[in-house]
Amino acid sequence: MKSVAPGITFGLLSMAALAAAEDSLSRPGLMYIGTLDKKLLVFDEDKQEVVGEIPVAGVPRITALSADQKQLFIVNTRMGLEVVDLVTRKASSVLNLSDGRSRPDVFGLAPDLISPGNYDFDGFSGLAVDPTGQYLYSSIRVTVKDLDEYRIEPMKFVAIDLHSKTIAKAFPFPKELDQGFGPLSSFKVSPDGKKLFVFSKDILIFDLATFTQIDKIALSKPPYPGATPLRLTVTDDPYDDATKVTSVFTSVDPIVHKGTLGLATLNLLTRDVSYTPIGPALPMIGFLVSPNRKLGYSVMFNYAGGNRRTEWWVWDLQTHQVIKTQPFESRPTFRFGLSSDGKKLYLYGSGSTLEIFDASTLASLKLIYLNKDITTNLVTLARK
Amino acid sequence: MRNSVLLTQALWLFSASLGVAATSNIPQNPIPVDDALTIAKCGGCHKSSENGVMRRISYIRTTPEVWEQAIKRMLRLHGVRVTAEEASHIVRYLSANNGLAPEEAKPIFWEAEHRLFRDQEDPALVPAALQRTCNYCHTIGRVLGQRRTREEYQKLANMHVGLFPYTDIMVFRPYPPSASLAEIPVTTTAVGSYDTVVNYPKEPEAPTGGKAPIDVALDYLADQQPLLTPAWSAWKAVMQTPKLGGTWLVDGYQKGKGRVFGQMVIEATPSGDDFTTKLILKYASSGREIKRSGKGIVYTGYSWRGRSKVDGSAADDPGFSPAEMKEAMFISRDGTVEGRWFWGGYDEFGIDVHLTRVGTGTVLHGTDKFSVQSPSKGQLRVFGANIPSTLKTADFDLGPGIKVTHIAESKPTEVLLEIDVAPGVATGMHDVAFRGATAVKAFAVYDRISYIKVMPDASFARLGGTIVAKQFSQFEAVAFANGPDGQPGTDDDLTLGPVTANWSLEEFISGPNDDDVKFVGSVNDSGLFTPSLEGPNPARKKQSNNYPTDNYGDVWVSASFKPEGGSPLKARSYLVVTVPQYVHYDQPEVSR
Repeated sequence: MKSVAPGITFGLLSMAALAAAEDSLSRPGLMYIGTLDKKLLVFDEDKQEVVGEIPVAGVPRITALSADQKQLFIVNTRMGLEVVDLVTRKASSVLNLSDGRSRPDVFGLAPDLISPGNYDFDGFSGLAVDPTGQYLYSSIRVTVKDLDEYRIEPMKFVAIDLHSKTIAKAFPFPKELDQGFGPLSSFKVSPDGKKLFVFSKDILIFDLATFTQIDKIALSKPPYPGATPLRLTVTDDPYDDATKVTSVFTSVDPIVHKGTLGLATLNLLTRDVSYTPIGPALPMIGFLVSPNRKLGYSVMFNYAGGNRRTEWWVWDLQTHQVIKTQPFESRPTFRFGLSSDGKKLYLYGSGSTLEIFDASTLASLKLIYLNKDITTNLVTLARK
Repeated sequence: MRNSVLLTQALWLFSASLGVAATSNIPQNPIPVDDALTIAKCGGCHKSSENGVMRRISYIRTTPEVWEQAIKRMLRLHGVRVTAEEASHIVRYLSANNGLAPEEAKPIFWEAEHRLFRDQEDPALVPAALQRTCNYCHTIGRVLGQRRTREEYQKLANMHVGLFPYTDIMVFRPYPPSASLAEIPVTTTAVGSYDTVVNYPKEPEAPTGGKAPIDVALDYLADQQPLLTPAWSAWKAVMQTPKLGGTWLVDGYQKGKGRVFGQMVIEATPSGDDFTTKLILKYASSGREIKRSGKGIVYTGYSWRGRSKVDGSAADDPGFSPAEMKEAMFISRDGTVEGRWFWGGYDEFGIDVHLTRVGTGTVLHGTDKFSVQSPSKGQLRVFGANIPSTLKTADFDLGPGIKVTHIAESKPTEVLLEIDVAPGVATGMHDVAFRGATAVKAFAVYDRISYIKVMPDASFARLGGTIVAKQFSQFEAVAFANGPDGQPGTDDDLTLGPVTANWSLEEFISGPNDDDVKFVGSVNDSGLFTPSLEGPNPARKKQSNNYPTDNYGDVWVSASFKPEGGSPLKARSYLVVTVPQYVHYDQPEVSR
């Protein structure tokens, strides 16, 4: 026993140490962003500084977080799929979607529900994560380099097996969807990993084993608040768990054609959709909802080009009131994000700076020069 | 003035060439390729048939620059290995075998001359069918310089999708709006204090006949720029290298530096298409003289590309006598040669040149001064060739009211006259005549300067100086006299040439707190704008974007000038100082 006990003790200590190490290496409060020099930067939200970097094989471009938030899937600019283990901070290559002759393209595009008529490059990655952890789904179009010309193949829907590191299934799209799900759509896998919810004007439900449509949730005749169709979009919101999709929407009444901005939540298990109006649909850039779903943040703007004036607006989602506004000087191109605790706003984009704002006072706290171009969205881990 | 004439001619020829192509019913048979080196280097991928037809290549005609860039792309992306000499041989062969006829190349020769055009969306220059596709990225000259079959144009489009995937969804087949009109709210805009305008959502511009922009463009190109045309058939039947050996008189103009005169001696080499050059140039206003040596190639029987090096050291002034200068000239069948010699990080400096062969007789080309005032006394230098040594003042006729009082200097290439301009000489352009030789409209006579203009009236420059070169911008203040109608800015006004002005930058107020004038750069006494360094500038946080070159902005470039005895005159030009072009798609090897 004596000889065993120390071993057990040592083992327990080791596990504790390992757990502590894991905790420090991957935890809510850390966030991740890809850069042009083939790195994934690890950023400590509390310290407001870069605390680590994870080398990756290619320039990261598209990201998707696993359901358990322990892995980050990256498609790089060479169409290589990499998996970053956020706990060990190691990246491993899954497979090259491009074989040198053929190059598939994943288009992460979705209708911009804040500015109807436009598209949103940031809201949907184009990758759907299987909550069971086995597959990654996407619709891709392959361009093949033949001996002396390029040939463009029809769109197909693929299931990438993360275990066998192969494209396990590739389905042609049905004739009526010959351009794939198209730019009006985004998609998400059901909690059991067996169905695909495609968010278009209606929600189409596909059987992932056969890639056949098996059902539909009609949204094109909305119950609320006006007569125009409603459309939801899957976003990479870390606070949407596997059973939910939360999406902003706009709706236009049929009488005076005014726009209303709202928040909708679809429960994938019950198929219930709840709608909460937020306020008038004014010209704005983006709309993010706080982790507790009580506040919304948007960037309002006036004029264009060098004359553009930008303001942070904070919306109380329950009272429909704009509770705070603050002018700020924005870059010509930017994205904005929200910290995992909802206390900070991040202004960043396809440049080399990251600016941190206090979400409560809307004051700029820090401008960080990374001295290298940012190539992905910011990925925060939900404090679940 | 010369530029506008060239542009008018180019547009006329462009329209004419379109008319020829559109009515052509020539069978679009592929062009056999019979050059052993081309087949050896390209045939690995572009297979040949028994009758010499090579895949892809036999279905394309284009300019030397485009052929050269195609070879570069094969080197970079597809592992082709060729030496510089082999590449040069292939470009020459393809330019001759699969090139453009002079009538096809002339309208877009500004592309080879690297002229900066002001508006790529000019409907007179860019066919409507190409407005929403090719010219989003390319200068339109590159597109108008293509001749292919319909299938080959389609393959060209596919290559764009293969190499630049987003081309498809952003340009070729842009997605329709993501929402129906019913889903887009009506908005209102306040106008003044009382009015409100209601803005209803509008249907997007419908593509022609329901076709995507790329299909409209492909239809246009296949119809208007087919592989084979009557012009090409006619030219290929008679194509040969022009006999350029000999001495050529050069007259030119460099913005900011004025008139340039000189001689270029061209010597043929045994290869036939290659030439060597010796050049002497003199800037008329400053008297500065430069000597250069170079070499040139004639592609397709009419298209000169050359390069010269300065004899001695290059000047510190970036706009004067660079170490190396590139040449693009168009050789007409009537023996005239004209084009542009250019240099700079973006080829923004250049001399517009016109060459005529020197014979045995006296030739007069022009004068150092653009204009003289009535009344006045002064000197006028006349440039030419074979000017005899025995001269009399009576030999010169400068028009009514102008008397040559003395010949101060005389050389075979120039003569300095002392002249007396009488009071009341009518405003107009005067010739210089000497024993049967005439320099037509050599200088203007005026009584007073009515106004000045800064030319060009709009321009752009690029930040640089660390990673990439700066793009400078040269301005000049040009004086004008009102014409007979007495009104400024009308067609009868007379150009009196550039004047020495005082230069400054002023803010172009394009937004609140606009302060671009502090950051974009500076303009010197000669009207040369030098942009600031590129790169991040913490003082300009708002300017940070995906190209963190924060010193960009837009300003006025202002000139002020006080004519002798007159009131001060002012004019200004709009200048955009933009980000560097980090990736340069250029074909410098064509002239090597």
